[in-house]
Amino acid sequence: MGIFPQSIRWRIQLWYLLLLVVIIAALLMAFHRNQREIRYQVLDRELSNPITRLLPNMERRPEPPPRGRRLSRPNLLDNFEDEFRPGPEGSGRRSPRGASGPDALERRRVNLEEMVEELAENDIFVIHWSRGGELRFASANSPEELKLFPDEVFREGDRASKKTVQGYREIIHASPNVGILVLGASVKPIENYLLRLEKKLIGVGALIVGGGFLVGWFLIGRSLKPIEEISGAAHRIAEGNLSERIKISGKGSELGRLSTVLNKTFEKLETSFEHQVRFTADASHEMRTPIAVILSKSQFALSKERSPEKYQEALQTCVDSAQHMRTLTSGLLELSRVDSGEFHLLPELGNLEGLTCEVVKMIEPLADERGIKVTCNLQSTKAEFDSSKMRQALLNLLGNAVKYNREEGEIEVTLNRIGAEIIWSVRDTGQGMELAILKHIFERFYRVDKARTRTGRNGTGLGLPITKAIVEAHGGTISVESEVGKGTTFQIRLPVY
Amino acid sequence: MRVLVVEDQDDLREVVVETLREESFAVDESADGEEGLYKALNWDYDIVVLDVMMPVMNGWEVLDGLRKEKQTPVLMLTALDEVCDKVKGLNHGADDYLAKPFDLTELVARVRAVMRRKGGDHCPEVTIGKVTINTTAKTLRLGDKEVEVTAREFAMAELLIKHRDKVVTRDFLYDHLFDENDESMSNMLDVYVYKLRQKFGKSFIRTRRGQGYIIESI
Repeated sequence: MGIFPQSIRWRIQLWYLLLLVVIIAALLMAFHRNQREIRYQVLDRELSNPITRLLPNMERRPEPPPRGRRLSRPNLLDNFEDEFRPGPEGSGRRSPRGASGPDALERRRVNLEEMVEELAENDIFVIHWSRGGELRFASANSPEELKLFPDEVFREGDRASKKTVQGYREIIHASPNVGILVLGASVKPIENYLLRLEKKLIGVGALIVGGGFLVGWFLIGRSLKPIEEISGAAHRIAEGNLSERIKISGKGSELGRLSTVLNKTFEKLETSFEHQVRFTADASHEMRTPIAVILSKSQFALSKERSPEKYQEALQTCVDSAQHMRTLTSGLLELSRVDSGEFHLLPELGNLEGLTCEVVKMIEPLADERGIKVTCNLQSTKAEFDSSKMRQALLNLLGNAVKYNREEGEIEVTLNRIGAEIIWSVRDTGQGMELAILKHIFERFYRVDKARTRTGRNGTGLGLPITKAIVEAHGGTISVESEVGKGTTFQIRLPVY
Repeated sequence: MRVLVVEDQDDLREVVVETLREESFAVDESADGEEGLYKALNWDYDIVVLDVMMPVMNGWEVLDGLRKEKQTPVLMLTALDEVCDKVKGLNHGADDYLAKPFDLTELVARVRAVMRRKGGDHCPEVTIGKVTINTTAKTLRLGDKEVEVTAREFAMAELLIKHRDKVVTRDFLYDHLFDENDESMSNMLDVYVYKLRQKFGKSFIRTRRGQGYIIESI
């Protein structure tokens, strides 16, 4: 990503900073401009006010301009300091009405001088040109470079203009009567002030931006904290601590909702992982026991010379254990197929009645051994099903019914179609089970017979979970009802398509 | 030496019990934890071989229950061989730990080792006067000559040597030499003492009248 950092925090921070800088700069620039304008306006006022006071003392009759000019000029050149004098003198002389004698002229002249001095004290200079362009007067503080006649078109009528030339602000008043009068002052003080202001503003701006940066860093950090939490928790979970959860701050916020969802996901993951771990541990435990039996039994048999009966017994135990392992591995394989979603059915149209009869025939020899009577009440029911898997499921149920039945007990198998459902039930007259046990019987490796009645290698604890998986793969459900001392009934319900 | 085997898997328990009996131990058995704990609390076993995964009451519970009252040596037997399980077992107060599937010879060796440690002997060979006993090879020697003894005779000599310099009562001898199913009468003890004296000399086992028997190391 080039110079842009990857971190969201830095990106937001940089954009925020950029925006802040632009806004602050614009504001400060506007302020600066405004200050400048105000200063110049004040200066302009300071410059134009004296003009209105000067002009009445300078005005001449416009009637005989050439003569007045000619007359005044030699006088004007007498003494540079008194340059200004002839102007008003001339005009005074030539004014026929306002002439009040030399006293009045003198007063006006003194007046003018005072005014010019006063202006000079305020660093304002005065320059005066005649209409023709001759320099009539320039106050002592007027800069040399400005004493040249301004290249301006002289028009009829009074006219004032402002401009800034070479570091001086000047107000130029041009009138046909007086000629061109310029009042000016250096803009240096203003520019100096503005420079200082600029520095101050830059300082203030930097402070604001700096403060904004810190506040922004803090605020962004705070709003991004849940993300840190999430990534931290995810990291720890990735490292194997599955019980780790994200601390949720502010459930309503987007990140709070995300955290909730993620926590739920983690919980599911943990459950399924735990399930997997437990399953593996259980499976390995189940495998270890028969291996231990085979190993120790054969070692025992081989440890010294024994009678043929002892060898036979040892071999029989080994065969039984191996067979148990075979049942166990095929069961585990079946269940791992269910878990990985590779439990595929091969459904065919068939009659469930035939299948049930077949299974009952398979189980009858075992039932006969224990004097158990099997009664069937079957309705011919056609459906689509995977016959080999369904046979396995039924065989499991009937096998259990024989195994856990009492001697001389009964088994009743019924098959009915009610509405859009096929209902199948296997009832035995065994000891029954308590509710606490019933809750677990479809769990893997859970064995009801583990307390004492167990005949060792018969149960794998996988029969009912497999049966359940088969029934569910067919879209059906399996349920169990039991009464202690009376017996247990398993019921399979299959939908008819 | 009397051993209790607590194991819920019938075939496995059977073979462990038979093996230990062949090694001249007196062996009792239990198929679940509850019964196992009851027996372990009521008899003084020299060692308890205890399975972990059992119905009703698992091995940890049995061990905890036993440790509250007794310091009988315990060898845990289990299908879990994760390190943390072994550590857990040893931390719970087990004396040794063996993971299934195990070698029978290893089981016997460990049973002997645990009992030796509990008896204070670390070497399988102990010599008292001229008599030398080797509990691993199960031989008794008088000087350099090996003397043939029956399993019961050996067990009695082993027991008395283990508790040498202490008076061993007839009840104690009876409890540790015969298992729960043994129908032998207690006067069988006199027979074994008589035979051992015949083979190793009269002074090998002394009788403390009204108290019991003693083997003195000096």
